[in-house]
Amino acid sequence: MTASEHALLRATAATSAPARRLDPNHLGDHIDRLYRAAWALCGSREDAEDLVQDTYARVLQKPRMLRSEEDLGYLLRVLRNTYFSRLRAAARRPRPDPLPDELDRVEDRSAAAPETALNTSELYALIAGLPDPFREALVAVDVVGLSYREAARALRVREATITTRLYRARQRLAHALRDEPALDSPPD
Amino acid sequence: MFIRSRQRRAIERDLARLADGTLEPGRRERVERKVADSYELQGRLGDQRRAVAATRALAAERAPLALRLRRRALADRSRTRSAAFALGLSGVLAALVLMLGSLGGSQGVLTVAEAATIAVRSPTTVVAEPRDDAATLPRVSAAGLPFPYWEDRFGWVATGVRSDEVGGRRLTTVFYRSHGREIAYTIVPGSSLPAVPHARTTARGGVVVHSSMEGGRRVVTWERRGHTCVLSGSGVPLAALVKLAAWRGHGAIPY
Repeated sequence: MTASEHALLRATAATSAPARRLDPNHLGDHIDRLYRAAWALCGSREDAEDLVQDTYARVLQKPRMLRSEEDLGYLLRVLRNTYFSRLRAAARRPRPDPLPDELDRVEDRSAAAPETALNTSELYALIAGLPDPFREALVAVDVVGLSYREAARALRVREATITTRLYRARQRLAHALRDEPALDSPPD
Repeated sequence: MFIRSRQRRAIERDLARLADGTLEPGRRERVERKVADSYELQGRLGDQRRAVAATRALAAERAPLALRLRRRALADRSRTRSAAFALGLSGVLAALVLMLGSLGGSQGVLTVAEAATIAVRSPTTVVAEPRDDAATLPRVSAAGLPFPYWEDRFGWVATGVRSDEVGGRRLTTVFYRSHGREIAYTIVPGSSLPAVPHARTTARGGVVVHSSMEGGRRVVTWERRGHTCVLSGSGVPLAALVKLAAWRGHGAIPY
């Protein structure tokens, strides 16, 4: 049985579960994890903010029914789809410079200290530089905190595939942290 | 070759799970023994653990305040849309009842644009002067909310007040004047007004403000204790309106 057949079987099994409505009142609980995931995908804090906002806008557009899936896993999948949609759209048009907005300069006590933010930015940039399949596995499991099973469901791949990709993502990240080239295999 | 590739992947999966503690106990012992016998596997496991530690340190990173406010504004709009849909449905039912002659009047969904039209009307009552150091106007309130006294702080003098019934709601409006320009501050009691499409959302001092243009007037809306406030003016900068909207009068203006 091929990987896609496995994924199809899994999806079919998932759709046989009873549907429940995604509760918009609890979506805000996941904003920190989504923000970290978005930053790791984009490699830029500003793009991450826009991506999370677009994700919430998309999810809140209409009532959503979920089958056998956690809210966070579903949100991560929407975030990932939104990210790739934005990438495709951005590739088709020139990107304007962002306009300064004086009114958004509100004191943010949740912001990290500048020196911490610098290190954090470097780490996010390293993660964002990983090949797509590796980065997605790392973001789902290590950054967002999904279980291997939830990550597999969110990314629509087998659990074993997630685990292998995660291993390789971590290897590459560890080498990058030491400023060494990665020695392991290319993305499958 | 195929078998070696499968074995390699199996050990990679074991190392990944061993590093983050999700490897099942029975298998864990076997893998740990294997790692203890191999410098290469020890190195790989070390890499896995370094990467896990680095990414877990990111968990302290929180979404910025501006993003949280924007998400909340999106959720509010979504709720307003649902409420508007429900109101619209009840409006259709009311129209059916009207056709049967059971009702004599109609009540549509009040919009920001309708609320802002009051701004071009004239005040009907004067506003009393507040006592010294007051942040609110005396004897003028709506839904239990006082109107701000902006003269000392911002130079906007309260010139009058009027009350209107629009869409079944009692709207109270205070007019302010400064350097020949006039602005109107309306409090709309009850549920939130439907969001204006394409309105811009900004945040200042923790207050989420939506801005738009209605009939040539710049209009900002925000909420105080669940009631919608509408502030509008012609030729007045958006920043000035937002500043006024977010002013809490050192706690005297309830939000």
